Amino acid sequence: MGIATLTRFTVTNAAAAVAALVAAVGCAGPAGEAPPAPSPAASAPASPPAALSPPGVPGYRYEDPADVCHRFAAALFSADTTVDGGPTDGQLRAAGYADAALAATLVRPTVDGRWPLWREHRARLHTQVRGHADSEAPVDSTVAAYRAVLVAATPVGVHGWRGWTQTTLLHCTLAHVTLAGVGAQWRVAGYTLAPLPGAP
Amino acid sequence: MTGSLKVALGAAVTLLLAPCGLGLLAVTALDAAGARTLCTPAGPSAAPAGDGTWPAQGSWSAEQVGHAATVVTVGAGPGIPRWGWVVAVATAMQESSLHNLGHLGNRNDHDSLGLFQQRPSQGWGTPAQILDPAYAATAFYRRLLQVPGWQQLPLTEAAQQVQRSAYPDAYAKWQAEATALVDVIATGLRLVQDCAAVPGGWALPLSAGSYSLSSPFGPRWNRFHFGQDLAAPAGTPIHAIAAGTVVAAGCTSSRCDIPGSLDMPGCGLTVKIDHGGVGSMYCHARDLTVHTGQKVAAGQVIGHVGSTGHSTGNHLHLQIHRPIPPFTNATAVEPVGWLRNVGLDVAGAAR
Repeated sequence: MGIATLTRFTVTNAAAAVAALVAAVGCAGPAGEAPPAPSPAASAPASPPAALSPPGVPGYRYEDPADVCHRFAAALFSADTTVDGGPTDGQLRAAGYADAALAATLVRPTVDGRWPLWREHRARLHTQVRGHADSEAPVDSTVAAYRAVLVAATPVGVHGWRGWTQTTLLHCTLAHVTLAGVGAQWRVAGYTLAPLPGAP
Repeated sequence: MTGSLKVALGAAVTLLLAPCGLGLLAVTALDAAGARTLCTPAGPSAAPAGDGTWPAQGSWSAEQVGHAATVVTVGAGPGIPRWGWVVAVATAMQESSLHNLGHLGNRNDHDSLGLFQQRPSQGWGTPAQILDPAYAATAFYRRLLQVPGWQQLPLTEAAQQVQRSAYPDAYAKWQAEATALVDVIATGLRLVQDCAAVPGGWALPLSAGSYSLSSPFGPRWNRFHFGQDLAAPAGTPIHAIAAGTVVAAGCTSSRCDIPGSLDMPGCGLTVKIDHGGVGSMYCHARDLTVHTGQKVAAGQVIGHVGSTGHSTGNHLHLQIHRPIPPFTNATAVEPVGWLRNVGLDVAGAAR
């Protein structure tokens, strides 16, 4: 997979589905409570079909696990302080590529100590994602797939301010799940993050 | 940070961490340029102004960087390894966004306070103590050092053992930022450690530009990878990273005369070298040019890249062990960062 620039996508439907999911699983905190962090949980790769449908991206077919992982990473590392309400919005977008269990953790409100400075500069993340061949990847099966991507994200302000470029390896564990009314889809069931060795 | 503050912090931390058995010799704050050439850190750096305030770095404000610097300095004083500094800074990024938080009223989580959101009711100290960033960092390190094998744990697990968070996996997303901030601060303060000087210096395991970094050290996919993979064409010469004695050289899989696979356990054709307290291990070679007991020089060819054993493509799997003996998973350290600390830039020499 070549380097691709993040493309934003419509999340209206995904956000609505996320809201329903939050209500269903009871993850929403009381208003005004200090927001807890999300939990990018490790996962069992071959999870059974989820009882609750995770949010989805309209028109996207979820057929290629590599592309699902790629889009998940791009969404997770997306931020635009001129549009987003806060750092949780990127996670909400990523939830559109996750299975129900992971989506439930991604929709938890989060805090990000970098956000105030980004907002001050009216910054957005310029994110590039490319496939990474990890020599330790397990063999895929019909119900589980393993992919890795390299993510380079740089906050850039509207007047030229630039923060650090963070280069991160994201390892996806994908599950082939069957969703009611939709059929089988590849969804990210878990992920791990690690800085690329030697990267700034 | 001013010299007097550095000394005061070091003294306080030494007293508080003394029961942990840490000495002061493992880390050296170099104030004289070039005192130990091998260990001179490189890369972006920042330094505090004369009044002790730090400049903003990346997406972090001056105040946040100052708090991170306190956390790093407290860890460096008694010789806690750099990984501990990263764990601590990442934890503070998650818990407080690197702000020394007082009581937040209705929004406060129980009686949590300070950089690490420590709770007086849970024995972390008095509110006044916890709101002292140096004290808070010291308390964090003190509990971290009590976690068995914390240096080999993923950041999430190490932090969680100390913090007991309801959302332990949240720490992981801060590892890259924390690593970068720690590097900038440590370089600016000229904090170096693990300065394992060896006769003849250090050498790249593969020639510069002949390899790319593939699978790094660390957890993924419910496993832990204990080395760094360097992908390179078959036959690329493998060099000893330093002078030493070969303590093992041979096939560690059922067969090494055929290409490896994920069904074949073991490291394939493998060399282990003792550099005097530090060990290096080279896996999956196509062939070896050294034998057990042989003395080798830094940069000497010890074999050639292949794909024997548990492997699907040509690469060198490099492990660094410290201290040795033994060569076990428990003594494996992250190779790229460790070698960078001794002046060898494996990542920078990759293509």
